[in-house]
Amino acid sequence: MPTVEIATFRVRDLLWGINILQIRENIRNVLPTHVPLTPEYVSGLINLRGQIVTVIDLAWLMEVNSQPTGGESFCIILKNDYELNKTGSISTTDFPIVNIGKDSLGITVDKLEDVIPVDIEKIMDSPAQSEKVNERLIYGVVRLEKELLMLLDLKELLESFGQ
Amino acid sequence: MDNNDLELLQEFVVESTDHLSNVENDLALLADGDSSPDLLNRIFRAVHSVKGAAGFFGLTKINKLSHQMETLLMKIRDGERQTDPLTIDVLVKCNDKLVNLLENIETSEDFVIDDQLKMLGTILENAYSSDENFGDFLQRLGISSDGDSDYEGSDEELDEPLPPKVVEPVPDIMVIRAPVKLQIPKSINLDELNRFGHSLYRFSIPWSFFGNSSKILKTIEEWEKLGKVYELHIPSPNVESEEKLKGVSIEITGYISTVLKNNLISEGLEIPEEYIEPMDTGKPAKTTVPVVEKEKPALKQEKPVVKTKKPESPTNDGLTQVISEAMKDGRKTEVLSTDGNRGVSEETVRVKTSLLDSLMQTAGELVLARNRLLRIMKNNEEEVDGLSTVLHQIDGVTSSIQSQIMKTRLQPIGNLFKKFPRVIRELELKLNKEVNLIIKGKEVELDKTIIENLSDILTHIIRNSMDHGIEDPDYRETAGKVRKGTIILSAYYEGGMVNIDVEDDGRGIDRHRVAKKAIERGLITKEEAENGSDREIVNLLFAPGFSTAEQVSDVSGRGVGMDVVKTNIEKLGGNAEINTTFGKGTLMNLKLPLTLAIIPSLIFEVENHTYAIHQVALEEALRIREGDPDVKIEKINQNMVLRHRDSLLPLINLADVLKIRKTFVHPETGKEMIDRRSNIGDLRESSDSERRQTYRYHRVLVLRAGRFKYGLIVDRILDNEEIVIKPLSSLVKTSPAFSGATILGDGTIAIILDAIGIIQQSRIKFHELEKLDAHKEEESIETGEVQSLFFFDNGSREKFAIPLNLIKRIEKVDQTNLKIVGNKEYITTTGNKFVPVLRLENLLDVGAGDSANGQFYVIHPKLVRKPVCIVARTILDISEVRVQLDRKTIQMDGIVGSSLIDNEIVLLLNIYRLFELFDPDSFATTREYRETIDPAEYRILLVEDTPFFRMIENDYLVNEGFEVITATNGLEAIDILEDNGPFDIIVTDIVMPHLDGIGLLDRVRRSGKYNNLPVMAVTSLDDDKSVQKGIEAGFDAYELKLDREKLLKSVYRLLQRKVS
Repeated sequence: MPTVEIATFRVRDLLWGINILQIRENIRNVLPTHVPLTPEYVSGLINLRGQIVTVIDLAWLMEVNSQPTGGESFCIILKNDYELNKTGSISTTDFPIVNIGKDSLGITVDKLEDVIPVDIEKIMDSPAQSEKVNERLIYGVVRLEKELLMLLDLKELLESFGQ
Repeated sequence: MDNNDLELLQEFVVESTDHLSNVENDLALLADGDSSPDLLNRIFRAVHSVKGAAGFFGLTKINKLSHQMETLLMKIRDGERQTDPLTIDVLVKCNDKLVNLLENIETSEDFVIDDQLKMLGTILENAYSSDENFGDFLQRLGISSDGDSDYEGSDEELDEPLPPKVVEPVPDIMVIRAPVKLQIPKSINLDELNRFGHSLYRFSIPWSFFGNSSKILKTIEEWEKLGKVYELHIPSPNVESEEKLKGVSIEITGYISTVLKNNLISEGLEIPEEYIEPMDTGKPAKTTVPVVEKEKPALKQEKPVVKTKKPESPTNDGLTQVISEAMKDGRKTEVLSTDGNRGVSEETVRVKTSLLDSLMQTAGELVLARNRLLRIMKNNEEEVDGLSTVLHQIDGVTSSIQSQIMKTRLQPIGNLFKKFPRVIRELELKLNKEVNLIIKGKEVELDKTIIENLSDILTHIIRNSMDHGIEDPDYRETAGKVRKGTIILSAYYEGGMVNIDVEDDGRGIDRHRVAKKAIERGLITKEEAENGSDREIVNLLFAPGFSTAEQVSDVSGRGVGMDVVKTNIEKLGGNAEINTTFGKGTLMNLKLPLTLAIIPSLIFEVENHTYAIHQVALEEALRIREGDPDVKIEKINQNMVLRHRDSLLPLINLADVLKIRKTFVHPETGKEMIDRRSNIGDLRESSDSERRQTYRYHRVLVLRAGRFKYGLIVDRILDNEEIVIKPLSSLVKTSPAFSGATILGDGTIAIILDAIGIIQQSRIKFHELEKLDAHKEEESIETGEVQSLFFFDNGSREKFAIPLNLIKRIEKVDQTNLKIVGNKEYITTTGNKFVPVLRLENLLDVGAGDSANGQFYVIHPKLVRKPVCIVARTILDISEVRVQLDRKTIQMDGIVGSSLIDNEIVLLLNIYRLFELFDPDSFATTREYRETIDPAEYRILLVEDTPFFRMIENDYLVNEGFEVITATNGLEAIDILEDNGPFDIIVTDIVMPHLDGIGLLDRVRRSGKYNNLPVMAVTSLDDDKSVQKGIEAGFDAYELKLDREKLLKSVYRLLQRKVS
């Protein structure tokens, strides 16, 4: 049965995941340089070994209002199109890889969790349930033993920029 | 061979080597079993282009070998043959030989290629079995050394000596070999071709293309309709079969001259491009110049010249020819061709641009790392022995690497410019215009990427100039210009940028048409159109979707407008601007950075945010202290303005523009507090007493953005640094003020600001400020006009002045020359005439001079019908002065006004009024007109830029009873005409700024609305030619300024004509 490796993380108390192939690397405790006149979901820019990465505040986009629980924060650096191409395209119709464009993009999360292999047939459509979460960002959900894993729809995320 | 040809040859070698190395790879693929049409085509094309170019240079060996290879390859490509290992081996060997020939391009004609031709011939004849291996094959053909392809002439001598009469191994001979261009047969009259604008082409078409002779003849017949065919050589069919046996395909060759240009010839003749080759008809003498330039003088000396015969038999078509000049040196043997070798196969390596790009990028990173290293080690240099030396070395080496890599990307702009003479020529024909192209600054170097991108942009601009700018020759003539227009294309360095100007002397751009269109397109409002400066309006051409050509012409209107030009220039980090004078011409100025990668910049801080700005934009940095009474900050229309060096410098607070919260440190508590003031000069208005103590310093960066200058208020200047621009993600590039980001030496990120973008973001309306400036300027014109004046007195206290250009001559006379008749005085002058004398004290309320003894002067004025002269006692001065005319303080009939010059009150005389007062009868000549025309019923639009004349002419007309409205230039006149019409007549000056009299007339005539409005010119140009020109331009009348009588008469006459 085909499975897809999902990297999971938490934004506040909710468990989210994206295809691990989308991720270039994870870094800790970034302090982005704020850029004036940018939308609130843009945390700023970071210098990642000489490369400038734009960092997005995922919590803001998900419209969660609670404050972070404190302690460490993490930044997931996504592969840009160039890096994705080097990976080779993996076509999974059920949870497709999304081209995020030529710029480097990072998303801030509160905590990193495990990488879980997910049986693609177990990906279900998003039930309209959570008030906290901007529903459009949920590509689908996977029922895990203890909780619900929400798959982040990167395409939707990109489209929500500028709105 | 001149440099040009040498360059071409170099280019050929480099290119062909490239091709052949590809062929080698592709043959390997072919051997591996890949026989896709793509691959076969690629190999064929590569060999074919080597062949073609070799033919062009007269390199017969290369040409012949590649030709044979091509024949074989064509058969393979067309599926007539299969590939087998042996065939591929042979092709590989032949390819090697070709490479070898190219490497020794000067001596290539001495090489023997018989073995290769033999191999190819055998393969073509199918005289082999498919399982035969290469070694056996060579042995069978009697080719030694395992197909070793290095059969150089010299080696060959040793291996199998050729008959001595062929090779000339004379030790005392210096050989200069010239790869020679195809010589154009003498039967073709090149001068005639050039006169008819014909181009010459050589064609060589394989027999197989036509198949039979009758078809050939038919085709040639068709061709004769297109041009003239010369030196036609059609081999007879039996030759063909014979040749075919040898495996050599034969060709129909000849020349054709036709008007068809390069790009059309293939289509016109209906044969593939590769069969046609354009010939240079410019300088046929080029063909026999030897490679080594410096040897030329030696050739001219009358030393015995020995012609070497080529070791090979001449080529069968006889079209190529090698001239080998040999001469005796007498002292030592030296083969100069090795010297030439260096010139041609020079140590150039073709490098992929992408590699250069990444090298550039890496060098950029290196610079950053260097900066960072230096910053970190700055304070620790002393701690480690020798560290400081190493740091300096790294610093130096890094800079040199960076600059050298940068240089690899720089190219002279001449490479780009050289294509424009042709572009212009083609457009000349197409548009029926005559243009002289002047190119300047070919040597200016620019980044390759920029040059590449500029090509289309410049072509577009030049097309625009030709299409919309330069007028038809006939029109130009009537407008008083030379028939032939001029376009100047120039490049130069200025302010760290490369400037490219495209200037034409065409019709210029009509502000009003642009404004009208911009309003139609909703780009600006009507008010903005009226209030905008000329520059602002004209530069609207750059707005997206703007194209003024009412009809899209196929030359410049291609759906892309100037906005594309602007966008592309800006993408390259540059800027574009239009300057135009309607009727005179247009100047398009492009400013471009030298390179795109690394920019010197100033790093500064605002509220703990770090920013960088290109040094190019920075003029100076000022330090101002809050509350400093000497700092003059004013507020105009909500904008802060700093008085700086006698000009108003608009101030922009970066924190405001970027909406960063402004803070200040409370002087007592030390806490950071939010600063809510909108104006840093607001201190005095503030009621907070503690704030009064916070003497904060601000830095003001004086930035130049295009032609605007403004002060950017920042907090702190940090450093100068060379930075690498990194693009911003669209998520972050939310403002035109940001042009990118960079990583500084300490690893922090700084946003790079754009000087022009800041203005856009700040929404400061520069034109309002500009108008303020313009107003000021006008004021100074009004009050500070420079005039040549003649100063004198009449022997009393008052001082008088007359414009020098109104004086015909000044004569010194004696009391005895003064005669009195009745109550009038006359002066007898030279030439037995007597002239009435005017004494100022009799007409003006001024003191009387003592009329007693001695000598005095009389002033003879210009432009009077009845002679009269003015008495002057002393000539005080003749000088150019700035006249601040005061019309109110002293009012007298007969003066224009008074002015304070060198602390003296001077009365400026209105001499024509004085003459009128002096002799009312002879000057009151408008009475007859007034019987039919009542001046009060007519409105006159008076257009005159010089205030002095404007006043006088206005006085004339107003005193006569007309209603007069004045304008200071043609454009203003048009506006007034639109808004305050109708008028009955326009009286205009010719020479004016913005829009001159002729331009005004042109507009009025073309307006449709005012076709019949009489337009009369008044001018100070009094030569016949100017009058003639004025009349030709279509003015209804043409009078001299200040001649009141004539002016009024003309006005009356025109009004009469209008009425009747």
